[in-house]
Amino acid sequence: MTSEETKPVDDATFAPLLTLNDRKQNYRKIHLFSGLICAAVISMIILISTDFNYNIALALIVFNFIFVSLIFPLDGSLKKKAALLAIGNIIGFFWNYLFLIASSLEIMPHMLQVLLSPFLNLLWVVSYWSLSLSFMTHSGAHREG
Amino acid sequence: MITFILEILFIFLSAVIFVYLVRHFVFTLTALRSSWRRKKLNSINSVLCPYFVSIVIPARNEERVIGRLLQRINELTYPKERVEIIAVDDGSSDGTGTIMENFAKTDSRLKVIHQNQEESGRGKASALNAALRHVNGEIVVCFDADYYPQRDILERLLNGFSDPEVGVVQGRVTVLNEPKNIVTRLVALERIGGYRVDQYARQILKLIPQFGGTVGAVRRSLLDHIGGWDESALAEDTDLTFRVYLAGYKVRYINEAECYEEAVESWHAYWRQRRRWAEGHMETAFKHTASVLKNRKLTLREKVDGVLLLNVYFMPILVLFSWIIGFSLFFLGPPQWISAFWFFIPLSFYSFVGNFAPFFEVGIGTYLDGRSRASWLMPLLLFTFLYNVAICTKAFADLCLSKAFGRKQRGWFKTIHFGDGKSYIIN
Repeated sequence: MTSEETKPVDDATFAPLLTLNDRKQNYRKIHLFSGLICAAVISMIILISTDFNYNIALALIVFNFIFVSLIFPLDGSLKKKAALLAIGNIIGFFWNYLFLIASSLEIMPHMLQVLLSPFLNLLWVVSYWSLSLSFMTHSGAHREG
Repeated sequence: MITFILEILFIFLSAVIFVYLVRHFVFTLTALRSSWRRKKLNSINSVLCPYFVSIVIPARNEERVIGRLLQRINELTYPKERVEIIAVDDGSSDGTGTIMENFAKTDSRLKVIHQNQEESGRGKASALNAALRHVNGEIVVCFDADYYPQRDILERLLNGFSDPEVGVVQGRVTVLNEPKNIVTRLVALERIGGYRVDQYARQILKLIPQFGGTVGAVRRSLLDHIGGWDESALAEDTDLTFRVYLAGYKVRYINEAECYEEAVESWHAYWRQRRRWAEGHMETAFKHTASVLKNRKLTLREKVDGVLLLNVYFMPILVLFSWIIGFSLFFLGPPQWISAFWFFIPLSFYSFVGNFAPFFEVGIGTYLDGRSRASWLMPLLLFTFLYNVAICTKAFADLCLSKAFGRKQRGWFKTIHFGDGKSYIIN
């Protein structure tokens, strides 16, 4: 990542836009469609699996849905997006097992686990989604003017 | 029985939260899709410049920033003979009035109105109405003293009046002093979500874009028709938005009409500003919700969006309320289904912050602006939300107290400006 750059307001252009061309529209649809299939398959695996904490399973499904619907249509290669989705799910799987281990060792009271897990889940979901978006912006988009 | 009532309440609140989340998800997708379709900037009707414009600047103790704005207005590209400037010095105790007078000596278009002790201190709406009495233009353009517009902002704003149904045109607000500290950076994120995605999508979807009280142009004839700004309203901008719609006109948002603002620089200033916004917005919700639902000039989608927009500042309180109910239900023995609903509450903790844009809306806004680094701070929006819960709760309590004791007199709720910031972050 490059360091933070600033621009004097006197040189400012208007609301920055992405430069686009028509061919990209088709890529977006293909990427989105591919992503939705991936997300559906992953969600099915999560739902079928008995190893998942209920809250983490829900967090992962929401993560997949938001990630695919908003990241996959952006500029950038399908490989990068698929890799980011895969990494996100791997983090989710590890997080789940960490939680299950903590649960079996009774490190945290059950009530506290139930109450805090959605918050903790969203912390990593939002953080990872933000970093992925930042990565996509850096690699795919540029300002006009 | 208590458990049953709590369960019903919890389901209802979760459903409301879910509706708002879906609303913002639709906004995000709309802004994203719309950006793909656009290949160039909107054409500007720069040749015709048909309107005589009155720029109105209400100011009270703004000596650090007023000169910068007046200088900038002198640099605007709109034909100078078609612009008048009306600056209201609303009883300032600093050098604001002197600075205005000094500029007036070199610019004959500038008219300075000094409000005396009796007239001044009644708030921004009162100062705007004072300016309105001196306005000769067909279009009134408002700027707060800390703003810094782009040179051809008038051409861009006025382009929105090509539709006769449009009564108000709102431009985009971008934070000027973003690099200053973490508060200005988070406010900048909120602004990106609120304008680049939220306002823009509402324009595309033909819903209700909001007049923000500044960087906005209003037809003079419409202001006369609706009786100017409501001086009893704390959020005179939101109030004007809905009075415009109820009168059968529309607000148009133009993303390319960009203006820079000085964001609040401390949590204390953030609290004061947002508490005023929250209380004013809630007050407007009480005032206009029923009228919006009954009004026959509004379409169904405008009514739905209007009600959701009017009540958005109640959401942090409802989220807190649903968290307390959910927590109570766990102690009373949670039913199995509750975990699914429980999940929406923390999800909403990354929503309804500041200008009430969820994390994915803010994120896509940064993407559309080409800001690769700005989204790194998005996890911190959780803390901004928690702060807003306290702000909105306090604002609601204050509003209830003012209703109970009949307090109506409004004054200025000043945000202190420093005149900092001459550049903006581009990545």
